[in-house]
Amino acid sequence: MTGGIEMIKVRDLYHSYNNNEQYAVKNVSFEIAKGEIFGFLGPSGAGKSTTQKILIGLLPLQKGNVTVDGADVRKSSRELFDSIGVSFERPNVYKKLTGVENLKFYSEMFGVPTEDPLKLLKMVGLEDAAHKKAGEYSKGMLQRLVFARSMINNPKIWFLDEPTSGLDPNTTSMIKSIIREKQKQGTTIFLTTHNMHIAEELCDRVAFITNGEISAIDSPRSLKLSFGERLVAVEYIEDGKSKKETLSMVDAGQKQRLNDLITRCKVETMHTQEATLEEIFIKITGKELK
Amino acid sequence: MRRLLSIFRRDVKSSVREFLLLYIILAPIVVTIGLRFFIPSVNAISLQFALDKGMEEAAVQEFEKYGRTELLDGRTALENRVNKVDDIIGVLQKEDGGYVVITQGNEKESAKLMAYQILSGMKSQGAERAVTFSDIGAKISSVAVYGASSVILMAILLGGMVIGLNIIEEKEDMTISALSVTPMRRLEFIAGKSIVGFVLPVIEVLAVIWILGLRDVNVGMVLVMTLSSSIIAVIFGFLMGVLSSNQITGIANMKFLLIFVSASYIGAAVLPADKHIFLYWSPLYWSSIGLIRVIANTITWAQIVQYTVWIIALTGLVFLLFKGKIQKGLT
Repeated sequence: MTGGIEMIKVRDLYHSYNNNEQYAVKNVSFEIAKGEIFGFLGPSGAGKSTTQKILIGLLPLQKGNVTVDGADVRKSSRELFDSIGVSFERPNVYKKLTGVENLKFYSEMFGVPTEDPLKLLKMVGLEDAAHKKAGEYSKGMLQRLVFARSMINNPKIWFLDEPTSGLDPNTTSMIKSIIREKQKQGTTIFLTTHNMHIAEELCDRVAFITNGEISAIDSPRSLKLSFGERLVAVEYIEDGKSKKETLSMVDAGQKQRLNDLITRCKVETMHTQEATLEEIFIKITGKELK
Repeated sequence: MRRLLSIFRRDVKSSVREFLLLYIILAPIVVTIGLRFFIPSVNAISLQFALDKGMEEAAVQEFEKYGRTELLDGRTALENRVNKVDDIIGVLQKEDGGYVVITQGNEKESAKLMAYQILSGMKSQGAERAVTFSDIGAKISSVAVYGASSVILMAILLGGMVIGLNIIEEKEDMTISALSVTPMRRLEFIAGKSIVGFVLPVIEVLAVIWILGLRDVNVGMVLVMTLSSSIIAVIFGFLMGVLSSNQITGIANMKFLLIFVSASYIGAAVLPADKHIFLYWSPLYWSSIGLIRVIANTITWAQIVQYTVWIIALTGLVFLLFKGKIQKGLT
């Protein structure tokens, strides 16, 4: 944890959809500090959405303790949602209402001052489609509308479920900038994704979850240092032929081999290679992210 | 309150942008306009006479020249026949040979005059008889009574259908989960969704009364019956919404409900009074009988209160029966 005020605290969380010993989430514990971006990473069916649904009250808390913004979710009042924003993965908006009407209607549900819908639509690049019915939006536009809607109440705690899913690189970049900007303003962000690149770029800490259990929690950098292998890819000319090798910078023998190549051969290119978060995920969990 | 009105406004906005819902909203008005033109033509289609069996054969033959005749036994049978929905003039021959023309009181003046003219024609042919009129006391056409009350019942039920289809829309678009992560309470959602089920029938009922020119109807009584009956429609609307996964299933479920509506209404309109007891279980029976009697101006405030209590009590039982299903379906 990065330290500071805990905005979300989860202790020994279990959840079973059939109310039996088959847990979709088991023994999950973590805490998220104010202003932290916490990535919850795992493949489909790992328990990410179940955990998030419990945190935002869409599923009842069966076993364990969960506090959000200091309030026990079992006893919290509806007013807690004034400080929470949720961007759903599925575009759950009113298709017969326009973009701006969707945001305006949603803003009327909150008891706190809300953002100007047009300002939010402009932030996500939907200003030209603001008065178009959401039913006429493309998948990416709907995703952005849901994302914009989640900011309407200026949430202190922001739950983002696959916020860049189905978006083009430019829009993804725009969304990432908004997330960073919100973090600077002190918003705590719970990011659920199976996209390791996004997690690596944005998250202060990540948790790997598979089969309902957390297998690692740390910053992407620490995970790489702990589990990753630093490599060097070298392209060189030897006996008139172009060759390529990838060598470990940890293994003594391979370090010696690198030195030999540099002294004996004509090195054309040389790049250090770090393990990706995805590779570390596979290494730790033995599963691929799909 | 702000949230309730927002939900109501959204539902109205969304409904008028959907062809099916717009049609449902406008249907009672369209039917009423049709009925407005239809009522005079029904009365004018042909002449019908209910004649006493004891009448002279010549008189019966004379009436047969001008319209359809039915022969009935005695004054009571004639009055019962005249009291039915269609326009029919009763004619009875008294012991002194004179005639009594029996009417409900709501027939077109021309129809009454026609009976008089036929009898006068017989007079000119030598069979001079005195003619007197007997008015049973109805002030409104039976077609208008049953037409207006059935359209009002339709407007009430379609209000519930609008609620149901809006809930189905929320389910299909999964917007309920988005609302679940706002401070909105479930009760606010239910109350907000219900508003349309009360407001729409009230507006439409006032329009129906105005279009049909029912000036003698007690508007206060109609509104009380409309609002109490809307409670049934609202509950059915929610049930339809939570039980149906899409519009098609929703409409199929509504058709199922219409069986109860039709049975209750037809029973209230057609069955003899002593058989009505078999329909007491249905809140829609109390709505039907109440609306029919309000439009026919044959009800008192005490009866309105009695019917309303029945409606609320029976609907309350239906609600208790399905409360869990409704609550579960809205999460």
